[in-house]
Amino acid sequence: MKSSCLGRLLLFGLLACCAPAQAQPIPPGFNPFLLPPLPPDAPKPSPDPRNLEGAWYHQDMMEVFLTKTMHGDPVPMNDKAKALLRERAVADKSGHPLANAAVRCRPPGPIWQRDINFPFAVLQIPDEIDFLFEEFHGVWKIRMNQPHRPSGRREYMGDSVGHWEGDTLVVDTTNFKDVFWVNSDLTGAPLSRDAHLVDRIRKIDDDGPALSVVTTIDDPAYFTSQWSISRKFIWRPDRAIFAEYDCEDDVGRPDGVSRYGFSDAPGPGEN
Amino acid sequence: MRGNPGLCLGVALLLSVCAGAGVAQPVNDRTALDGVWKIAQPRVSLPLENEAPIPFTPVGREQYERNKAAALRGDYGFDPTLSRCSSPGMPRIMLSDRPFKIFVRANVVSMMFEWNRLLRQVNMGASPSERGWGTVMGDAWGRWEGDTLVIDSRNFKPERLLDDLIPSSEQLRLVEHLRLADADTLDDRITITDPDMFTRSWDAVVTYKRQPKQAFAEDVCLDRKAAGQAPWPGRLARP
Repeated sequence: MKSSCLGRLLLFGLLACCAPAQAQPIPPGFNPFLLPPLPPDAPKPSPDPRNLEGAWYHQDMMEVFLTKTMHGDPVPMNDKAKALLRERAVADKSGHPLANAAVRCRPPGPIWQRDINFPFAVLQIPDEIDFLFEEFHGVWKIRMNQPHRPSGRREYMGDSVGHWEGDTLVVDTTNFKDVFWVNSDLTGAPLSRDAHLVDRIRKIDDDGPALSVVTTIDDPAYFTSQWSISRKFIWRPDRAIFAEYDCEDDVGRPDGVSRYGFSDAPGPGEN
Repeated sequence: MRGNPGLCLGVALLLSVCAGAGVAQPVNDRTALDGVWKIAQPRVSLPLENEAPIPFTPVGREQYERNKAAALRGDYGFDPTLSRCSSPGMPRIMLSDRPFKIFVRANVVSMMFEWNRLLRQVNMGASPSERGWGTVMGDAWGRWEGDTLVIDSRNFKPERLLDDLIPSSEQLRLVEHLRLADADTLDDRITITDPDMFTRSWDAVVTYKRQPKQAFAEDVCLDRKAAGQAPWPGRLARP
């Protein structure tokens, strides 16, 4: 298998690296992403429910194999999506997994970007809310109270417009530049360029300050109905200074992703 | 995929937590720096104060001349930004001809560059410290001296470039003084110290002009490179 564990680790992080080729079973309840409690004098988030600024972190175990909606139902994939997943799994097992956006140092889409267990910071100005991520040079720009741009201008992270409904930030995202993968898995579920995402984001108190994000996915290209996932991101001001990410220093070389055993070809069935 | 595999492993195992600062509320009397900025005069080389000669050491001179000769041949393998879209690092990113945003907050000052979506963070809540390895952007600590933001950067990766040709080592240390010359003009005086490459410290001054508020386009350097466009301003990428 040419795809080394280290290569996968560098590209995906711990779980994506070790899950497919895990030699030792993970003990029930073990969570390698659990951080120690914050000290009592740690900075607190703004008491304003509409001020989301600060550093947040996905501490829960990442759903590497996303099979259920937030309500526990099977993800409503259509036949095309199921066939695509099978082909991705075959490619992965062959030792030449398909190179998705993250592997190619491209923005991996807002869901993947949030799901991986690395911190992000929120910065707000009157007309824009920016989510800045430690990994992938990730920037999720939310333009407030504005219409979508024409579909001729597409970006990997899509075009996101937001508004407040009470204390909930509602973000509508579409017009993606490329197909992307919902979950951080080498055989991830697909989303099409015309997928439509609605995120409902609000501050909650769940054993400490946190952000609740419920994402509803509408993508008739791959799913028979809308479905939703729910995530919680905890307040971690101690992770506000990010580690450096310089993916291009490796992947920008002439042998690109192939040096890690990935196939550089686009995934079969992608549109 | 990080610059330092040890760092990646450490982060992945999540056994250590970055020491540092929390992001909190805007600092009202410092936020004059907030906004969108763009270099006043695009350039690929650092603007030396008074056009003074660069005080190279013999090692620094030799590396500089080697880089210059390679560039004349069109061989940019010495330049990871031009050849593969790697981060320009510091202070080169401050020469970008694309806009960047400054967000001044109590414990972190963020500079969000349009170029390849690069983020620079300045830790306002801790004192500078050394560590055993470096990064392309280095670690940056800031403090206010009146209305001037002073940034001390160190812990750099060796064998990178300060601009299109000038080499640097892991001994590099930068001290910047950012202050408004007027409401729409921002000066960054960069004092460069690197005893491996230079016989003394020297200064470069970069000036920026305030830009209208704007949401940045999503810049993906590798896509531009694949399309035959220059990864970094001033030159064309060569195979």
